[in-house]
Amino acid sequence: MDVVLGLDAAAPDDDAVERAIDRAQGDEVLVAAYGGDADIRESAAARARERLAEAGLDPSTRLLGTDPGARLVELAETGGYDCIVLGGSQSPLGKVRLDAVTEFVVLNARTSVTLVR
Amino acid sequence: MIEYPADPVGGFPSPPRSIVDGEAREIRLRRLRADDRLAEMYAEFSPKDRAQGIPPASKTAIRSWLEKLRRPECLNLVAVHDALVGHAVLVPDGDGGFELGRKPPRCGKRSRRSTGIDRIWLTVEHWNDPALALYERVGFEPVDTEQFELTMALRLPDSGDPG
Repeated sequence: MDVVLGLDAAAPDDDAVERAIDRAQGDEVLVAAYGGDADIRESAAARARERLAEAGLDPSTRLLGTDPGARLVELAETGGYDCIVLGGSQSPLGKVRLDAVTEFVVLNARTSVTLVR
Repeated sequence: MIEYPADPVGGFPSPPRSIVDGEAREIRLRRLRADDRLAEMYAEFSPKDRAQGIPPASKTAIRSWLEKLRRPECLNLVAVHDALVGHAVLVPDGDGGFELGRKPPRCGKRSRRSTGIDRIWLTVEHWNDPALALYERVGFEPVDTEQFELTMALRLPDSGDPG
């Protein structure tokens, strides 16, 4: 299926990249990096692209500035994607943390959303 | 970054060494020992007692989660009745504070003051009234209400015997 991989550049999640590879099964992947500054977004996206290319995929990339949650939802809808994959973060104790972007996407996406815990 | 209350709590309840639960069972509270079988306790947890993604759902995930909690810099307390029945832990957050967690939610323990720990925080679901009531009773204050979960924190008194 066609997958939007929402990548929090300030805390990139390698497990989310792997899950996107599983989900895509060779179909299209869009890497959408948000958070941090422009350089951090670019380097996080480049790293994810590298791993996706190793897995035989040819991802496209978007770097998202303001309102990344809304942009992720919009990209998935307008691009006809099937699923948004988001990385999770955890507290020191191991509790799952839902940040504002994750919460927005989970509550507002029309596609299915995979939150990698 | 946690915004702690400016003032320490006036007194912190000293935890009892043992309690009697609603079914008249005596439950002892003590430090976690190396041979305690925490993973087994968590493997039998009912899904309704999971919160905020813990305990993790699979045995493998439980084991790697507990490995992190059993590091020497964490403070682990268990409740025992024949077998382990409850667990509370303080985990350093790398920022000078400690995050508190306790399982199961019914577990009648209280966190204990320990040398060197003066700032404790936790997150709790907004709708978890019994947990909120307990945390408020021992002096935790809400410090971040904007997120999906509520963050509460307290500062312990500098010195003296707590509570």
